[in-house]
Amino acid sequence: MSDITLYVTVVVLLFIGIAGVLYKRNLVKIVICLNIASSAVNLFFITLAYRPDATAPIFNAAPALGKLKMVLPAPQALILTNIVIGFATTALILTMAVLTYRANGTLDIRRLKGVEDNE
Amino acid sequence: MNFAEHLLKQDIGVFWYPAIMLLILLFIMLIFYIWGRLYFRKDYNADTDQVKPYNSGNLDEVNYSLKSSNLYWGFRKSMEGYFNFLRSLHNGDLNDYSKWFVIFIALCLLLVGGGFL
Amino acid sequence: MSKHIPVIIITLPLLFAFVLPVLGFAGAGPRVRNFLVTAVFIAVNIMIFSLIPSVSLDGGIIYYALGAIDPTVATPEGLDFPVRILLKIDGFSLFIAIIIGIVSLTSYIYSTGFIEEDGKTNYFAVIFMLLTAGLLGMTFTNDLFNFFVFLEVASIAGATLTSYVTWKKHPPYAGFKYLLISSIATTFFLLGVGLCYAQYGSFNIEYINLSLSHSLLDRIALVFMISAMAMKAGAVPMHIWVPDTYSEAPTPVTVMLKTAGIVCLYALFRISFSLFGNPLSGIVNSINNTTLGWIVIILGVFSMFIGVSMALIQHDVKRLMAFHSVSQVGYMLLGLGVGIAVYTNNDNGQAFQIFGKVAMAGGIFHIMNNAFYKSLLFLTAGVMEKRFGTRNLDSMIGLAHKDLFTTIAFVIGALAISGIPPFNGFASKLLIYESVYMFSPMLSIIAMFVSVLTLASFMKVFYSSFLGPRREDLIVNDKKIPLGMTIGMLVLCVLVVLMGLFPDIVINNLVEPAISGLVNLK
Repeated sequence: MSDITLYVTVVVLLFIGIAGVLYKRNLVKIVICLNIASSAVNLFFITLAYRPDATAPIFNAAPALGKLKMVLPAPQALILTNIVIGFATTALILTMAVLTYRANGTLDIRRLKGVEDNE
Repeated sequence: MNFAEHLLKQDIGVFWYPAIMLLILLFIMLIFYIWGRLYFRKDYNADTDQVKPYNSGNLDEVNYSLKSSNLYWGFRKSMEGYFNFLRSLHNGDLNDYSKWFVIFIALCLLLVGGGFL
Repeated sequence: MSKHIPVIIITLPLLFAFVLPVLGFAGAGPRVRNFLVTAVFIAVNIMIFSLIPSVSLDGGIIYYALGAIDPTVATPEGLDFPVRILLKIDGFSLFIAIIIGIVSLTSYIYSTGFIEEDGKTNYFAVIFMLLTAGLLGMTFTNDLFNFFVFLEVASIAGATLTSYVTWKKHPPYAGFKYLLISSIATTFFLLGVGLCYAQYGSFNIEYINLSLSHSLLDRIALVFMISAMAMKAGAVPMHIWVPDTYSEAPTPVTVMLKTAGIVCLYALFRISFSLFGNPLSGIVNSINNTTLGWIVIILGVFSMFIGVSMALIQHDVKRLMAFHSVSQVGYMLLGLGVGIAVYTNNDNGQAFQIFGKVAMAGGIFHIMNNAFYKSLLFLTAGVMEKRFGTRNLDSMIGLAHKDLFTTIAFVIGALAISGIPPFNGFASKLLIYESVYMFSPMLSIIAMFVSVLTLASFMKVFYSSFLGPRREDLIVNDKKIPLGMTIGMLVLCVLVVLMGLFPDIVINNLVEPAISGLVNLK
């Protein structure tokens, strides 16, 4: 795929994710849209690292430097870190949603305000 | 040592030794405290009716119903519109958190696009 | 050994946090655990203070390359760009690290008395140490992606601690809110980092600063990074999560969340000055510092005003103090915003020398003062919550008959936050008032008015909950305050009073190197 298509996909995914966090009322749907937004950022980094007709920089006997085309390995390593962080965050935030449901009986943020009895 | 000569520094024209002035202040406060306890407590008898709070003419056991919500009543009542508007912004709505964030980023990107930033 | 101190400061709490559950299974009781964790925090503090002579007093910068044979060499032989993750300790980083060290130590000592022991308190100490390690890592690093990883560590640890009391109605929801806010902020922050990496090929802050070309993509990255950090620090208009989260967390955790906000504020200024700031080099079409400064100033003014207006009408004591923390962040933003706005090359740096440096000194000094007196106020609110069983101010009357020490601590904190001499709030607020007045008189008048309203709202709390008749029917908990809580409040009281009496020791030795770490006047 050409690069422009991928970058447009990044922007579309980011908009979908942020629109979900802005307008959805269910706690679990907000978490799903947060995951979509962080997938958008991951896709952005990986698209940066791509070079057409290039190989991964893992060699037994490397060819000469003039004929060598490699993809950038650094963003790929960092995106692995980000994916693991996103996984841990999703697990934790869903645990908190479950605890909220157990204590309050609802997952709707319009009914969960919890501010009136303290204000 | 630097700290000691800082405490006793004098390079202004007037008398300015901070440590000595602090000690003099503490000494004067101690004198006033001792004098005040001896003078102002001459007619204080604990365990009588004197220590109970005075509640608008009734010296009986207090029905002390002045709470913190009653303070600043006039201030809050006269600016009720402003405070209700502010309070409606601060309900615990999760969508509002990200709406204001997106609005702020949009304003700043408009400034960037307009050539100001 | 002494050249490895920067990395030991970060990894000692991290490693010990993983050793602690093993000790718990081996049968170590609460007292052993408290003693060991306090010892680790004291060791971290001693290491941070041992760096003061070489960094602050001599004005040096310590670089540390992680994993290199000789860690003090920043760029290896034959290359002209750094390839490893670098840690950089200059005056401003050490300033924030001192705050983190002292506040986390007192907060942990307070929590040994506050959190009830129920067999799971080991995990509280584990996550507390992870949070401290994350915050220290954020302060010392010079690498944008490393900063992002430590930011996530601190956010996850902070959210877990916020929802520590899982059997009540509101704390898990407060933890959800905190983690949601952190995730949105870090997603946009990572987008900004990605835009910088795409152009320059490196994550190192100094390397990007040297090769910055101030294009449109750079400005977009600046906007994303600054908005994300302002959201986590609690600046208006992204401040709505602050009172909901700070009021439901247990009291020592609220203090650490506030410290996390201060570190994110440090990141905001580090990005504005060290990453994107090079105004005196004459680059054509560089980032307009006046507009950036005015954005920060407007954020600050709105934060001050909205924070204190909402704080006047609250019934919940910790929610009131959380709104005050929003308002105090406004003071820091105001001081440093004035510093950014006059840091231009138009008049050869004259205005910056005259009053820009003083405004920055006031803002930076206010960060340290605010950490100490705000923590003191939150800790006294914890005592009030334990005594009366509720956080509602309407059912708190007459605490001064029972706890004289808490009353004195509260009075010291309330006078310090309003800027009354001889406490430390006065020194930093006076610097901010005078320098901002020379920039624009209206801002200084707003700052003084907000200070008056701050005093008014704390007088309301003091009058209604500490003074008044003795009410035994409202007091739920009659026991003596545990020793840990008293020591925590006592240390902070002493610091507040001492820094108010001798402020120029702190300004000459800690704040001036912090300013020279941020700006670079030729």
